[in-house]
Amino acid sequence: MKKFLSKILIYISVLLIIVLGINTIYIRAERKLDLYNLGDLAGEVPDNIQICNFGSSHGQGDFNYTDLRDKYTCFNFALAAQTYLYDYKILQNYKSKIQKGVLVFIPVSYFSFLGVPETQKPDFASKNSRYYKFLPAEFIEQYDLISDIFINYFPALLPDNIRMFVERLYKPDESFFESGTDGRNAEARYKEHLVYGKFDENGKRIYNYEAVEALYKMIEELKGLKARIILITTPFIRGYNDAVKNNDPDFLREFHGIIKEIVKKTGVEYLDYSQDERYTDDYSIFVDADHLNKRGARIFTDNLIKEIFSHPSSLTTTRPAGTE
Amino acid sequence: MLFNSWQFGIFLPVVFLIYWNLPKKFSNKKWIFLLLASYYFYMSWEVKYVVLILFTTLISYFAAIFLEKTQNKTAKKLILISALVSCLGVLFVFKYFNFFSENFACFMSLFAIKLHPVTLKLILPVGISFYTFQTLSYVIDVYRGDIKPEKNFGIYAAFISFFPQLVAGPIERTKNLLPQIKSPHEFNYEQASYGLKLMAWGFFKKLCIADTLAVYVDKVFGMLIRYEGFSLILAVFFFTIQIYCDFSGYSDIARGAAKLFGIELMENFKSPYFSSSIKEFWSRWHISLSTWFRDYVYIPLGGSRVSKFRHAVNLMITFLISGLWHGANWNFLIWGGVHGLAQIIENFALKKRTKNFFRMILTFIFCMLAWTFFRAENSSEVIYIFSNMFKINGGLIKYFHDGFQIIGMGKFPLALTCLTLLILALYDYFSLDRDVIKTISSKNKFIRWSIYIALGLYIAFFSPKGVVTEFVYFQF
Repeated sequence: MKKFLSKILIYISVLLIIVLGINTIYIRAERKLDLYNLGDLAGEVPDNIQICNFGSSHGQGDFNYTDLRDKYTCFNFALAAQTYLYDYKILQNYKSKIQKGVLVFIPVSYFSFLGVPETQKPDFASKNSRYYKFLPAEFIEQYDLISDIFINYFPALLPDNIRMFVERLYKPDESFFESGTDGRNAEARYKEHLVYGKFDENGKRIYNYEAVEALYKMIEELKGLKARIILITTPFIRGYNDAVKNNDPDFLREFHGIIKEIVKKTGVEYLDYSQDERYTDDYSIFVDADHLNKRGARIFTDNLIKEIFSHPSSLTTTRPAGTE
Repeated sequence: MLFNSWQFGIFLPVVFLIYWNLPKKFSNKKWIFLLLASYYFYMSWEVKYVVLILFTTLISYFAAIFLEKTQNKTAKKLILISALVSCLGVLFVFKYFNFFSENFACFMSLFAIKLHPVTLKLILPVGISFYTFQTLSYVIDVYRGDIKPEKNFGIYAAFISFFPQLVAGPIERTKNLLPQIKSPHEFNYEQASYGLKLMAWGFFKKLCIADTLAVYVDKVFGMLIRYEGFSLILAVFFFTIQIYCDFSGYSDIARGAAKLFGIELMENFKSPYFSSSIKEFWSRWHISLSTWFRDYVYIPLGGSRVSKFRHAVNLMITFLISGLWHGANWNFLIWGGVHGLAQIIENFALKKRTKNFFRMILTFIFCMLAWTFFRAENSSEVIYIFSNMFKINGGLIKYFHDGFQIIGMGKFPLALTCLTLLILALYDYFSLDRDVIKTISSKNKFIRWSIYIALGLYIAFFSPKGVVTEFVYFQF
């Protein structure tokens, strides 16, 4: 019995030493490579934020404050595939860091209001894990202590992390938001968006009321900060807009109908750049049909801020159809 | 308490340490501790269902006692039937009532009689099919005079509820397990060490193969209409491997855990995908269940010592019941029927077979296609899969490439899957004529420790964390 137990002990000790060694190396590499694609959230969140944005990949990729950081304290709270539910949670967690009167952009994309609630999404677990990195337990959906321990202290033991790590090492220079597009993927990109959760088996739209409700709550919370809130649809290439119009003629009308209602109820502003011809045909500034690349994001953000600060009245010129 | 949960990670070492450190005066009564541990284990799933296992245990215990005391044949038959009806009745209510009720209503509607089927909202108690069958075999064996009934209720209850095999088998026979529960045990280093290695191999199969493949399988079967071509073949192939690794992994963990307590459980899987015929497959797959059906259904029906037609009927009945044992669903019934039909064709239409690679592949493909019935929700899903799996849009390379892409399997997961499948195939291949664990244990220290560490590291790094997945066979 003693021999048996001592051998188990030796085995576990050897295993632990190797595992902890690899884990330590991994943690260092993880910080360096930003494996969770946390963007600005990978670092410190500054105090007194004056300009910020929330949102999904359209927020994370299309807003680049590099040229504005000298003048303003800016921050990008967006993460790829992030819904308004987590935008709201992030806002609640960091509102003490946001200055009163802040300028806030909340991207509204064609599929922002569609899909199933957060926890019913097929990739919920993998997407949810990144929030363990920077949000406290009370803001995490279906919080689980074991997951927390693994994600924050033993990340090398998560198979998905090893995969991401290997893939990042394998393709070190291929950062998603740095490449360009030839504009030929617009139709395919549109079809990618017709994935599980946005349409039911009969092709009928499923609205994510949880997300809409979270957006309202978020607006309320921001109003408490006396924020200037701007809902914004970022630029898409012409082919993408055409694909949406051709495949689903009623869609844009319904989409704008929802925004019209939000604008009416809350009094927030709305800017629609989805079909702005300064961007729609310049493929060199897009990474794919609906995301700007890093250069495009800098150009777009600079233009946007200039327009807002120099011509406040221009805000009312790009209202969605029917809100005039 | 799942085998792959942290609760079990605490439970097993604690029970192990207490079991082997019980005072010497308890050396003949260790079963009491096993009984307590087993009931605690079972109650950790759902406390109230302990009533069911207790009921089934009591019924079968007293039935066996009465069977021994009664000499009258009619009375014996009556006791046997009463015990079978009582034990199977519980199983029927929880597992089959809704199925039969709905299908009866459906059948009556053919005669323009509209019935609203009565359905029960009951959760299937975990392990009910397994322990019910164990009690049935006990009562039948006593009735046949093959075994003497156990007089001590506690020992009998420990035999029925022995925790490593309680929730998903192997379905043990009284002759094998009961004497082991009764007899005093001395700690055996070799046995315990073998048990741990077997458990590690079982965890590898469950966590690193079955659970990894389950992600792709669930994705495709969850929204079939979005998939076509090679992705459907991949999903069916992955399920074929998943269900094997899931169930045989569970069996290995169960057998390994039992060995830690000095108890040997029967082998439940013997490299089934290396079979050259369906008959051979069933002699290697879920052996405890297939031998159960052989001994208590097939042979009593007449087995093969009857006319060819009757033999075929016996085979079909056995496989249909086996299919239904897996679940109250037409798909399981068809799955059983397909296997039964294949055995009938093998027995009567094909020449005697010798083992060769080509036949092995054919058998594997047959099993793989048959698993489609098992995994699909209904027959229209099966039809969809079979009619779309060979849909080629633009060349073979694109067909294969799209298959991997559409299920979202990148190069790294693919490489890992290939590696694990290769390890699995090698292990099973060598298991055909030797005990792989013993072979590894006989190698020099450096080689065997390297293998143990590598296996431990693979499980540590590549098993899912934070998500505890159930074993597929728990639903049966």
